[in-house]
Amino acid sequence: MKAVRLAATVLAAILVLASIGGSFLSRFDYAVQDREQVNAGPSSKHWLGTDDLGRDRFARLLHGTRVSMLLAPAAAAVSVLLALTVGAAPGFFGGFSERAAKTAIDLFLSIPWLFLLLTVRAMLPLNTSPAVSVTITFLMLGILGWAAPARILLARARSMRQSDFIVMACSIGVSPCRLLGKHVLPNLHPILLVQFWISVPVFVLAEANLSLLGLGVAEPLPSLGSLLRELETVMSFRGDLCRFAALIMLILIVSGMQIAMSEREVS
Amino acid sequence: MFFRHVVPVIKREVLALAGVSIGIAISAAIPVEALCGIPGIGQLAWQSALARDLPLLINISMLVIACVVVANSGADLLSEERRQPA
Repeated sequence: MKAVRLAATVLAAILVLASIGGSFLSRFDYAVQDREQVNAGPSSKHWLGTDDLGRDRFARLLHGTRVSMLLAPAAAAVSVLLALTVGAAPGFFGGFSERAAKTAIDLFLSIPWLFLLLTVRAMLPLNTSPAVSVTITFLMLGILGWAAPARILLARARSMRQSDFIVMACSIGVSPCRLLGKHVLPNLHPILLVQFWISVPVFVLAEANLSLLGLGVAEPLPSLGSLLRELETVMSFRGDLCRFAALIMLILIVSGMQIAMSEREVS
Repeated sequence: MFFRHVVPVIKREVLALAGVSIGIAISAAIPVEALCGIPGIGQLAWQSALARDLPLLINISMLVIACVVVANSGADLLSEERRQPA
């Protein structure tokens, strides 16, 4: 199992490096259209060929990976921080705030999130710029994805409230702020990390889902989902090359899950 | 043995999970219906989102949320019923 996890980490690291160094690996810009070569096959000039507008597929793949790699962890961080404030703090203090937090978590868990995302995304005007649309898409994912981590953090914080060392700390008069920062947060840290690593692949997948429907990242900015979208049109003869996007997504998701699992074992 | 001893014990958890899965399943129906061209609620939601038809989209969401609430309450009800005689 250890070898599998090492391989997963190495693959994820290679992807990160490739996406960061994407502009060095490929000579083309992701948005430049080469109308002389539309739907071309792989060649020494275009490594993975070109799409139906003549854009270099390799550059688009690297840039799409970079978009997901940058923003999915950011969204995961947002959702874990939200979960910490909404889940862990009320769970620790108990009483009315805990009941309120529990109700809110149940409410958010029962909402079909894809419908909510579709609705919010449809409210954006059509002329939103690509950069704004991609930021809003991931921000929405982060804001909507806090419920599941919050539930786990709440349960953990509540069990910690009744544990001996907290009771002792309270009895010698440690202030609530110090209690949270010095005693509760370090104990929640492993769970936070696990939740973070679990959220990353989930958000990658959610973004791909949205982009596949044409409601995620706007053209001409590529993303893994909008690259997969090319598979839908049978028109593009070289559609099979888009499978690289699927492959990268698979690697990302499996690696994220494996890292999450190894984090869980360490904790 | 399985039906007499195992099922009654795990019934509550399974039912709760089933109630939650309805929401996930309906969400998953959107890409499936959109990509396979099956006319259904998911495809309608997708089309209305692309056409920026907010009233329709909000009504569909309300319908789906009603389904999820009914499924969750049904699951709760069933598991409560099971627990009462014990």
